[in-house]
Amino acid sequence: MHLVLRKLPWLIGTLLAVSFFTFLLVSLLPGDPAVMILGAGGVSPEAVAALRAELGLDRPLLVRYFDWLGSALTGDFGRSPMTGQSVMDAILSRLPVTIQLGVMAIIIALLLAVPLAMLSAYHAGSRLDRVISGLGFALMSIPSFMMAIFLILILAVSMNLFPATGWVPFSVSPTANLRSAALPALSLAMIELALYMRLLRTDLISTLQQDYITLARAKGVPNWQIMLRHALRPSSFSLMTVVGLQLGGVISGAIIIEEIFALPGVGRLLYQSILQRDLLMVQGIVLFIATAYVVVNFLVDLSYSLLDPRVRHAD
Amino acid sequence: MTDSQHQTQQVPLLRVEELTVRLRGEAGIVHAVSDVSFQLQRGQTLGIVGESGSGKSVMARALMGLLPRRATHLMEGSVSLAVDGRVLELLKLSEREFRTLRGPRLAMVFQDPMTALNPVLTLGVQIAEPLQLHLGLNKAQAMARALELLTQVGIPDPEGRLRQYPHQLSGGMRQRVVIAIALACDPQVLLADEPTTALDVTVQRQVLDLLLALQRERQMGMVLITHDLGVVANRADHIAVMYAGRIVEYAPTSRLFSSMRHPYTEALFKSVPRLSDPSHTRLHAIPGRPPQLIDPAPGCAFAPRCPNAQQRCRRETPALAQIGDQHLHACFYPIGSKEVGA
Repeated sequence: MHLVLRKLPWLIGTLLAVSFFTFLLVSLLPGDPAVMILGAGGVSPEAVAALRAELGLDRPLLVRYFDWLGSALTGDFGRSPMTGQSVMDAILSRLPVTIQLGVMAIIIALLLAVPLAMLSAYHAGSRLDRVISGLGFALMSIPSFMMAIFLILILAVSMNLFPATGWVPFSVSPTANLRSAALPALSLAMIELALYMRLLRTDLISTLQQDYITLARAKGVPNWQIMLRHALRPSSFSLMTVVGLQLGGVISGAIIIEEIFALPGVGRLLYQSILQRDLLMVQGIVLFIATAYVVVNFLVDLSYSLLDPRVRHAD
Repeated sequence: MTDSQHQTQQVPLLRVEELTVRLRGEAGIVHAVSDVSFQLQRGQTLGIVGESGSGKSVMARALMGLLPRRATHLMEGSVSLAVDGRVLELLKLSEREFRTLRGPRLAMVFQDPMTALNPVLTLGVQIAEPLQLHLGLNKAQAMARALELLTQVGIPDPEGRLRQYPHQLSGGMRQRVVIAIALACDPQVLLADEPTTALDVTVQRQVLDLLLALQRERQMGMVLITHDLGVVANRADHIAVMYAGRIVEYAPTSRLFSSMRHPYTEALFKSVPRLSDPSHTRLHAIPGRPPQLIDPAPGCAFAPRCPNAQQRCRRETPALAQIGDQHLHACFYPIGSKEVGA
């Protein structure tokens, strides 16, 4: 708890900075939002001015910032002037898709990466290790959209195991939902998998050279138990950090993957809002993503103390 | 005398014969241990003394079956352990069979207690682990036994310590925990590899005395490895002096100190600082440095640093030869021999 209190001011400070820069960023984009909303050609300056007043664009930047921040704190990011939809509602309606996709990808990646890394590290330097590492390199160097197309061709088109595109909500049919999420999640997982594997393998190899591993062997502990009980936990800090960062990044959605598989997620919403110059929407999404990112990383920071008692007892 | 004759006739607890270990190093094959032979009886302590790099630790790890297979180029000779009336040849065991011996038959105390304990597991879990593994105790029984062990190694507030982590203890306390782990399954042979080198001087003595007391109480055979003759001086029954992977002198402790023959033993002896010396006495250092063990030159490995060395020493390797009751040395021109020129 002490740790939480100590880190809380940092968390709030970071969030304020993030919100201000988000606001600034969008305000500094070239073009007048009012002109864009009304359409460029043949609009009277009076109409533009009226809309600017209505949107509050005629007020000073800082006043607008605090006004916007005040509403944002109550969960009100405003309404999209394009669609009339509440920004918050738009995000929340797409969030489940994005989170499910991201979390599934991370779980698949971890489920494959942890055993492979353990196998690789245990047999470090062997042919098996080289094959696994080589595979990792190959996966890492394939961009996600290539991987997606690849998987669609094999698993959807040739083998017909999964639908190629589209999304079925969990509430409609859980099995169909999982099937529709499988390929996009797998495409994302393949790249994360390689990264996780490399990180964990490196850390495991250095852990395995520690005296306490030799002591565990001297106690007669079987090798698999040494890997699981003695080596894995002290080796998983880098992995935790990266998974944490990616978990934070999950909220932003996988823009490219959501677009390829036509998934109604946050990433696709952001992409389309940018194309339509729906500034209020972009602003809201970016702030939402940034907040989620900072909060998730804060939680990951806290979770280190679960992994390592030395962090827990540090003052 | 009759007692010692009786002991040599019975089957020794641990018998090492012509143990040779070569490791794959980055720069080549390391001749870490060459032709090492010794015996250890129940309830006895053998001190193995030598500089760092003399092969002591590699030998200990070889006896424990802890040398990584990948790094082992060659392992020859014989290591036999008397187990329940049978004699097991350790070098012929599979990793699986060897594992069942580590803990209840053979145990080891490591040099650096700061790195020998797992930082993320409680002390209780680490002590209980071998008990659950080898003796089939359940968690509660193992924890109860862990508590007894912590008491035996003299740790205050053992109950509280069980739930603590290594970083919450001092070095001396951690080494006591390492000892408790080693003793958990009542081993017959305890290998202590520089057990006090990493500790404060004031704590060293306490930990050594604890080890000795536990060894006598349990009648274990103990191999006490150190670079410091002073550590084994009044604690070991026999002393083997190692140099460059070989035993160069072996004798019962009192005999070694009264009539050491190998020039290296004498050099080691002189390099131990004494409190009785007046202050600012120059410490006697052995000239030169320990030989590299990759592609060792022919001849006696100590010859380049030896005051008695002659032509023959650089050509031939002296064999370990018996010169008296249980006193062996490997030297052509030992201390006190006539051929040594002034």
